[in-house]
Amino acid sequence: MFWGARTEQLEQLAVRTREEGRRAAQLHDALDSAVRTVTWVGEDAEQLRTRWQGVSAQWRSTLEALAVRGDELDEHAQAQERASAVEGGPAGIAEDGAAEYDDTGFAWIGWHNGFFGFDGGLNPFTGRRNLRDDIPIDDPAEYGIASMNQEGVPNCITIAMLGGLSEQDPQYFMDRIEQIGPEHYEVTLYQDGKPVTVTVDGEVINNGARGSDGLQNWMTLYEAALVQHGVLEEDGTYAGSAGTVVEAVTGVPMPQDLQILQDPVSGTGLGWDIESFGSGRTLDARAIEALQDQGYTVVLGTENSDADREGVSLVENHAYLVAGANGSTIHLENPWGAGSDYTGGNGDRAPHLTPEQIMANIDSVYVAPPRDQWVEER
Amino acid sequence: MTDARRRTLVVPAEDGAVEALILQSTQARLGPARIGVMSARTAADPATGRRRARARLHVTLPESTSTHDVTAGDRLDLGPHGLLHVVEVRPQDPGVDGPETPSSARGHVGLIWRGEPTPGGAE
Repeated sequence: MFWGARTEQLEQLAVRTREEGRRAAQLHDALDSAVRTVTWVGEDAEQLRTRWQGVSAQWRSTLEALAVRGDELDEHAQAQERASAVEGGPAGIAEDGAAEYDDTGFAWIGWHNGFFGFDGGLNPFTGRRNLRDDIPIDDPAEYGIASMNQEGVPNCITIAMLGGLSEQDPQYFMDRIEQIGPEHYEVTLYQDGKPVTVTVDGEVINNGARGSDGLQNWMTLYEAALVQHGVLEEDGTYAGSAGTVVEAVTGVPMPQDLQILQDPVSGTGLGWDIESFGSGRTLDARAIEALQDQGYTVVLGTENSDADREGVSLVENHAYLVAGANGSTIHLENPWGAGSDYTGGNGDRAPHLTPEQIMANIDSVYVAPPRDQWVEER
Repeated sequence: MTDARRRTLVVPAEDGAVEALILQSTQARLGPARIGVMSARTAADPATGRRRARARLHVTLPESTSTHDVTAGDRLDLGPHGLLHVVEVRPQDPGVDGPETPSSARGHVGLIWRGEPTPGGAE
């Protein structure tokens, strides 16, 4: 039922991709010549020429992508030939209804690379989606916890952090996103505490960060910028430690030792840091509340375990943003978000954990510095 | 071929169905449903005791949310929103832990969604 690509179709598509690319290039050149040579003056003419420059740039980018895709299709066809020769074909469903899984991953070659073959249909472009021209970036209501919607990319810490940081100060992020032209944005990130302007245009990850309505939002732009900045891989996953996301966004590294924090009740140091937390097991709702009171943004990571979870059902190997703490319980928000079709009726999206549930489910913590420490220069 | 490039994908099928591979800890939209994979691991079947790859899905429909423990071959009747066929469950790597788990170590679930419920309801 699931598939490996048909090599002859991949090869045909490679040829078709190149042919269509050539036709698109010819059309581009004809339009470009027309725009440049037409005898037309005035404000409208200048607007057209300015807009055409943006369109032309994106067009050329697409043409380059088409050429690359054509080459990739040939490579995939050759790889599929090799895989099929070794494995004898794709996985399927066994007679008892159980799926067969090919441990080599060869049968999933189409999935892994963004190409698929199914009854003659091949789509070489599923890996990317065109950047929208109308992403809402000027309304503070578009930022914050409600703007989180992690879809198909396992970068939950990034989404949770962006949700929590923008909840603290939407204006900080609004000031660092600018639409330069049609489908052309600039995002200010930080490298070693210094601002770096990153251009976002062309295409973005197909099923990456989105708004609660499922459409591209400011977080889509930040995700794309973080990819270009090298903090995230091309597929949106972490290029290194997830903590580098915090530094790229705020200009300040994620604090690595929070022993300076004082327990608000006992007055003693909480005695844990990020590195030793897994073995220290001293984090509780009171400590998290203390962090929040001092302005830190806190994201908690769940375990990879099916052991007793104290009656709570959380996503495993996942990050949740701490939205509140009251000394005995903590309120978490799942970066999966709250789309218009998501009621959260059973509490899974926004669970409240008791101390026992915290200990049974949480084994890592990520902390971003308070707002007054973020770099202002831009 | 690097397995690290595995990712969540949703693709239309020619018969109107939608097919998806959803990595553990991510979600995807299939028709009106949003499906999240909360976990995917090898565990004993509660009924038979047989160890199989099992997954916990979070299903969000326009009017409700719910969680379901499933294994390959299971079908979830979504009522007027169609039918969900669990095609495959690949367990997550038990040796890797936490939200920074790479794609290559995450499990996944293969699903087929059909908008028209099967006559007679779910199997």
